[in-house]
Amino acid sequence: MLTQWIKKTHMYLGLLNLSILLVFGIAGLKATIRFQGGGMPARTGQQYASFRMPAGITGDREAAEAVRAHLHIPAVEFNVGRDSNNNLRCSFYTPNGPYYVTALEKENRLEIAVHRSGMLSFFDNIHAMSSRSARDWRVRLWAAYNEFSIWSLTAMSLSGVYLWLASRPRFRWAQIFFVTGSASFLTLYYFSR
Amino acid sequence: MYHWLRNTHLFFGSFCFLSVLMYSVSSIEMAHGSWFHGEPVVTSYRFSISPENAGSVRAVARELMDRHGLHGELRQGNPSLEGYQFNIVRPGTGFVIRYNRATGTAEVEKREWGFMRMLVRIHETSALYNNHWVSNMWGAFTGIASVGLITLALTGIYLWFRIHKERKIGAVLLILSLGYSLTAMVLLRLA
Repeated sequence: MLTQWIKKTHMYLGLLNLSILLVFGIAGLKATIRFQGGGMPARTGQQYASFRMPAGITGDREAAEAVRAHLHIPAVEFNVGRDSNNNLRCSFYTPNGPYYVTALEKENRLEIAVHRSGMLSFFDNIHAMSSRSARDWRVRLWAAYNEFSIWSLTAMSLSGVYLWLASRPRFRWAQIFFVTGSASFLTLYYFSR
Repeated sequence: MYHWLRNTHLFFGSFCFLSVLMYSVSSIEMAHGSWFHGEPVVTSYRFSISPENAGSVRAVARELMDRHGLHGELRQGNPSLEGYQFNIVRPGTGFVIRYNRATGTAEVEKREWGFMRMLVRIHETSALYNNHWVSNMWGAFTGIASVGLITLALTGIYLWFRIHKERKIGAVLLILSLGYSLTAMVLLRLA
């Protein structure tokens, strides 16, 4: 009875997490094969948009949030600074790559530089997205799925081992894979201290 | 076919068990850092370095490795006003080193991370070109675990589909999951 219940849970969690497991796998492969000095993606576009800073905003971070909301940028986080002309310069970090927006407040417009990354970087970025400070609803939507998946992955790992031990504990090849994987992991852990 | 894929699922699952558990548990720490106390244990040392072995950052680092047992990847080596400053790191331990040319001494600050923080640092260790073999082995583990996750996901779908009485509820869950995740992904990508 317990085994059946755990098997169902394991299976249902797997179905609910299918796409994010693939995203984690792709992100991991990208991290493994990435080359040194990848750096920021090249600038893929520059544009201008009219924008009047809302009255009542005084702080730079509040101003940056107003700019982000105006441009609907799906920023996971952002930084603010000033350029050489003392214009507010906002760096928005999104799953698609960074946006650098300079608020030209005297001219009531925004200068927007986009650095759009490729699909592999997109998968890499969304695999690490958490909702701690993001205001964008699309970011929060995916971050909620990420949150669900990390708990699911923990549950699936433990339930998977239980299901193996409950069904075929004497299966020699499974024992060999388990011992090899665990011993390698623990040896590396020891040398990492 | 069924038995072959069932065994593949089991083999990857059993081999990657600890790695996948490490990734998921460290992700909890990353998402909820405030739940954990992540301050490292700091110990300080001072070592003498003979002038003939202090010609460069790499020479000082090599001397510390050979004579004082520090090991890890050399990073962020820079000249400073007094001499050199650099780090030697591996996932669980980091050394911050300040070499003073005038006194011929290296001040070493050893930082040992707690269990959860160490898992995070292992999680963040990837690629195969690092300067230390432990980091490269973790990079290889990342690759194996990634192939493992993809294989587990795809074989898992097949194994579910072979259980006829679970098809209806499974299909509903799969449609819900794909609907939600693909919509979120497309919305983010098109933004």
